[in-house]
Formats: sequence, C-alpha cells, structure tokens
Amino acid sequence: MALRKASKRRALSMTSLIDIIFLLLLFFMLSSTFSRFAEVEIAAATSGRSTEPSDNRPTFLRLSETEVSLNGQTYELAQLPDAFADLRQDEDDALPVLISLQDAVTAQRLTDLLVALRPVQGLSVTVLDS
Amino acid sequence: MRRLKHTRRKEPTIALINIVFLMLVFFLVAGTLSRPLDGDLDLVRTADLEGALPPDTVVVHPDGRLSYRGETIASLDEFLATRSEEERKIVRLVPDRELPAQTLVKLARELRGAGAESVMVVTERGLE
Repeated sequence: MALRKASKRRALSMTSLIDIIFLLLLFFMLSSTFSRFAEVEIAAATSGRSTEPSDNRPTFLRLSETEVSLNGQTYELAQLPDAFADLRQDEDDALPVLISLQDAVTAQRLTDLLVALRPVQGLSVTVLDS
Repeated sequence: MRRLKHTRRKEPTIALINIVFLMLVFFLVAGTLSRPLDGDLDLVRTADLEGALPPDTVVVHPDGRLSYRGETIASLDEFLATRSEEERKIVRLVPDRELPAQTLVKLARELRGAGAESVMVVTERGLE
C-alpha cells in the first residue's frame, strides 16, 4: 500500500523535538498560576435607598479585630448562625443586619465575618460606612 | 583533568523526554493561565467558598492605592471608564488582606453609587 512507504523514512530528529518541548514546558511553568480564587459579595450601605420593609427588627453587629458583638452580646464567629436563629421572629421575612466596623478591622476580618454569615438563610446584610 | 569522562556512554534521550513530557502535561493540566496580580499583594484567605475565575480587575493595596493591570490609577472612575456597560453591573475588587475594612466599604459604596449592582471581593482559596 501507499502507506507502507512512509515507514522507511528517517527517524525524527530528537534535538529539535526536545527544543520545542522545552520551550512549551518553560512557557507553561512561567505563566501558569496555582492560586485559586473565590469571591464573596460585600453589601455596603447606599445613601438614599432603603431596603424592603421587614417584620423583623434589625440587628446590630459590631465587628472589632478580636471580637464580634451582636446586639451588645459577644459571640465567636462560629456561633453567629445559631445566634441569628434565636433572633428571628418571622421566618419568611428577611432579617436586616447592620454591621458596624471598629477602627482596626482589616479586609481579612470583614471577609471572615461575611463568609461566616453566608450560610445563614434570609439575612440582608448591610455594612455601615462611618 | 576530567578528560576521562568524555568516554562515557551517551545519556538516554528517551528517558529525558519522558520526564519533560510528564512535567509539561502536569503544568498544562494543573496550572491556570492568568494575568499576574501585583507581586507584593497578600490576598484575603478564605475557605468554604466556591471557586471563581482568576480576576482581571482593580487591586487595592494596603495603603489604599488602586492599581489595574500593574499600573496605579487615580480613582475608580478611571477604571470604570474602561469597562463595558455589562461589566459595570458586577464589579470585583481584589483587596490586600491588611487593607482597613473601612476603605474597602468606602470603595464598595463608591462603586454602588456609580451604578454597580453588586460588588464582589475576590479572595484566595486555601488548598483543601
């Protein structure tokens, strides 16, 4: 057959093959990143626009670098979902949460809090701007 | 001195290519191509969040300086001007983890004022 002829040709030159593969390897080693990203929404208060009225009384959460206090009581971040379950009077309505930030709070700390609040259903979170 | 060594056998080329191919496949599969963020930035660390695409957006440095694609920009408006109508609805920010949260909230409010429907904070996921 016609294809048989092809097997008689010379072996591929190794050197140029390796050249190309090395180039590809270098490119992918240098340009790829292994960090993985995620994102979380931050809801900041906007002036002049109110959220939907709710039957639940708004809760006030004060965040400092070391502790979180919800309506004046201190909690751990992990305890917050349970604390919110106790506060809610009307299951169907959103529970407004106002977050006030102390001076030394970093973006890391605020994000930790927002991530801790995410599993709680039906919160409408607003971060206050001093 | 080392002349003797020259008489040794040739290194096996096939084995070399095998290894290099393995490395190539590893980097192809495991790595993600993305525009590099600014070098000295420590992203906020989070766990338990779904993944997101590598960001191509405004970076906020610990001192509140804004930069986009490695170049310092004066204000968010300058960045928003380069974005299409669609991209302005959901705006992502990449803050350093030491950035004061007040500054972040201020920026988020500014973006809301400029018409963004939601403002997302991009974080770095730990390797679980």
